Amino acid sequence: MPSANITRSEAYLATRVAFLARQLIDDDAIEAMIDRPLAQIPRLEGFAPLLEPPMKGQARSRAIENALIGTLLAELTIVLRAVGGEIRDFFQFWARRFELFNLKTLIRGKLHGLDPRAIKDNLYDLPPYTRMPLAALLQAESIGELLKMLEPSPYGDIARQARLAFEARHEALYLDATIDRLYFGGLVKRAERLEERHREPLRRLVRGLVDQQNLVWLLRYRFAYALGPAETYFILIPQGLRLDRERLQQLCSLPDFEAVIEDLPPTLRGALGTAGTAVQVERALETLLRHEARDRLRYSVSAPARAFAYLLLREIDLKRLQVLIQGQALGLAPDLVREALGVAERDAEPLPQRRAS
Amino acid sequence: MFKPLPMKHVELRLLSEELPRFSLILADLGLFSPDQRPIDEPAFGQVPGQRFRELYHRDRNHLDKIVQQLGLRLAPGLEHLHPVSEAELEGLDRELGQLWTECAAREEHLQALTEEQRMVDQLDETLDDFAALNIDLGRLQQESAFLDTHVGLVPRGNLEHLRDAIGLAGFLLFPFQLGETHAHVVIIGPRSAGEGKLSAVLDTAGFQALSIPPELRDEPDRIRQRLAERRVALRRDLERERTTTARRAEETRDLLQSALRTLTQAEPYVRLDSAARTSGFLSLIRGWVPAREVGRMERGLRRRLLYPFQLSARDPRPEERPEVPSAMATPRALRPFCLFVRQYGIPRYGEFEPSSVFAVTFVLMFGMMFGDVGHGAVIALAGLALRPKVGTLWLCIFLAGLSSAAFGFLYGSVFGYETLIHPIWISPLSDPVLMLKVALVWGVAFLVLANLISVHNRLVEGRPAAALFDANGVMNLLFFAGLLASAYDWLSTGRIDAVGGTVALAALAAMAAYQWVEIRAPLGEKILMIVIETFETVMHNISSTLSFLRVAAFGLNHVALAIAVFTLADMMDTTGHWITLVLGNLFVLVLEGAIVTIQALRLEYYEGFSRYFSGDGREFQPLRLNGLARRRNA
Repeated sequence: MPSANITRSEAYLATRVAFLARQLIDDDAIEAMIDRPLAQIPRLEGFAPLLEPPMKGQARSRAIENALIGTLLAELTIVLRAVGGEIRDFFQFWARRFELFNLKTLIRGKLHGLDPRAIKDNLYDLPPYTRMPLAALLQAESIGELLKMLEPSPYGDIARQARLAFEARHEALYLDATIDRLYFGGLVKRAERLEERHREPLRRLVRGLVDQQNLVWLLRYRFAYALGPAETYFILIPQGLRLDRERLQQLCSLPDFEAVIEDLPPTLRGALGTAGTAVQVERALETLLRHEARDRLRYSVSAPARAFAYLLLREIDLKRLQVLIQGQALGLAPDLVREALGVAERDAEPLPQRRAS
Repeated sequence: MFKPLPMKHVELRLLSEELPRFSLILADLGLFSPDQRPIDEPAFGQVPGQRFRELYHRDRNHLDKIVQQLGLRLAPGLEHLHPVSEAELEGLDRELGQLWTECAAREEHLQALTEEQRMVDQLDETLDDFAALNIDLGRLQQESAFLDTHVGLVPRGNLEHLRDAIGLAGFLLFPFQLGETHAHVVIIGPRSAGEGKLSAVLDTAGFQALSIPPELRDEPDRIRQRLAERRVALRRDLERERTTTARRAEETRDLLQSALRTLTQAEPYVRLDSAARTSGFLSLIRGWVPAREVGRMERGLRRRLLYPFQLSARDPRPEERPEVPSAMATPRALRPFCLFVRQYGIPRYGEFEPSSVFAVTFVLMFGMMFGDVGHGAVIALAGLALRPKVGTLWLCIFLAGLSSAAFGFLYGSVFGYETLIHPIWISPLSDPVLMLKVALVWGVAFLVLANLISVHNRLVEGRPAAALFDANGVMNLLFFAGLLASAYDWLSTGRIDAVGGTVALAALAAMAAYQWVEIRAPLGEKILMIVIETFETVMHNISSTLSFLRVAAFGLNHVALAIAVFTLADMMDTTGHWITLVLGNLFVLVLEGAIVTIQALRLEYYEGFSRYFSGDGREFQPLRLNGLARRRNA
């Protein structure tokens, strides 16, 4: 039994994760929620008031997102309390992505000349331990000044390079891509620093996540935005699991969507099935990531790896719940919600082999 | 002294046009803390002064940046209060906006000069490396029909990734100097391959093109000479810019002082924020005022407002307690100890204010752990001497020194000498067991007091069940009493008394049952949490009690350190003996003084505050005129 190998200091984390994992929602459970009003679904009844007036439009979406992100961060805090040293550093860095969401919102807001109050309304409420000085950043008069203010912070590296990228090309797309590339690069670096027992399963998950990001970006930027191979490659993250740098270079050089799909490694190719658009590819890769994360959650000997797998799965679950709640808020037909959730196609989903780590 | 001042919730109705004057008077009185909670009255749906706030924030932002850029320190005085109007802020906005445009341009120019200076330095440094390329550098700059060449800087982190990326466009990248953050690179490829796509990648990668100056084709000595001349010119330009900045700082000082005065007087209205609501001509303002000051505030407003107003005050409702700010009326002598309490947090409204208990127990424990007449006197004198430098903290140091000296008399210890004076009570090393017993009794008394305060706080919060069954409630006191009785019986007779044991177990079971009702979690997690919490309760009581043994241990430690110093001194001749004694005493004074302070604070925070002091109260922060030296009321 793998848990016998878990050291005593990890036992608490493993226990907490085991209890938390009982909240995960499988496809049958989500399927059963689609046709029922929120007030009748025990774990979603708290969201029912958000569907009533005066909540509407963007304010309602933001309130739903804030509530779901709040749930995720509360659970991340539980994990953070149970770990120390470099593992804590890894999870803290993972938490920073929520701050980067806020940073991107700030940048877009400044780019469109919104006033600070309007931008603030669109920011996520994050716990006090996060370290981005949002109040000061809101007062910045330009994106350059905003990024300069971040340079002495833990986001210094990201801010410095993002500023250079923005000064060279005043486009949010490149700024977003630079921020994401540096962020995921940092996350991979932190996973690589961990001791062997945690490193192997965590790097597989993180690099799997990078693969998902890379392939979707590649298809979108190369073929939807028609960027050149070199430019597309540069905004990708050369630290994927199945898509390493040589493979990425090769894929970037291919002329069309179908050629890229055909040239993928067998596992990815198999997972994509009949996906013919970037959105379908994204959904298929998310399904693959879910299978792999479930695998780690059940069989990994590393408690931090289990915790990370849980957080990934929980985030996917919460995104699905968001789709479900928004679907009800907008009065969408159940079939449409089912399609958006991807539960209609699950019979066709591939089931990768179990792999213990 | 023992709890925050009673507060009143105040509602004021007045004409909207009086709001700026009203908020200014409130800030001058310093008695009113705005209540920003949403309001139920639909008639007062709007928050007034939206534009006023926007202007204020923009002006403040500009002023702060200008002051920082000009390196000014502003400290304007204020003789007359005058309410600031929106039009006044508009005018200020224009003035500060213009000044900031000027300052921003100068800052950019300064930055460009600094950047150029850095480039000259780098060029100087890279001259040798360019020479090491062993090619005609001029050719890198020349237009070529077939080759596209770029020379420049790339962030180190992007180097490998960029090499791979431009490889896809048929380009090669050669780094020729690796700096800490950047690499100097030459990028070469066929002219037809890039088609403009290369520059997109280079821009995204943060590539900064380096123009190779024609001088680099010259003799190295002459190149260096030219660079030195450029450096001198740059230094001259920088100096000129700095002089201009200093001159502009003096020229604009009065304007900026006046702006700060205006913004400070506008700030109270901004800070009212959603505490003020308007229905047009009439406004409603809500906030908190210490009960004993309501009359003074009302009189102040009546005297200074132009039009009548209506004021109503009521006691805080039970459900409002977490929102009520805590205003302390700490006696002067206790204020330095408040600093230590604030490090932990603010008491909730109605909660026990622990400064007095902290002051007494901290001073006593410091003395018990560091009892020495000589060292105590030195610490007390040091407190007096440091008075101008450490502010009110001097009193803590002085009292700790006095306590140390007083316990020195009890222990009969003077600078480590145990025989100079007769101990009034006992020399610690003569009966260590008695010392440990006394420390244990002190600890029990301390913990019981902390537990009683916790019960009081829960009752004040209106949570009688928590006061009875919570981790530091009445049941915990019973458990603690049962535990102590059982331990005493076991140690004195070798058996555990049935009554003590039964009381302890029953109290523990009652606390577990309370948690069963309180915890909202799935069954498995609930059981796990209760088992852990119950175990934690038992261990916490035992470890906290034993924790106080350190009070005796450090008393003994002081004697042991003194013996070590004397043993070393006795190994020396006469001069060495006295030098060792003096240095040894200094060592004891500094090292032990620091350790004992930390240990006493640890006992206060972990064994005391953590039991009864939530520290998550809201501090009473009345509207004030921040940053202005008020000379005379208007």
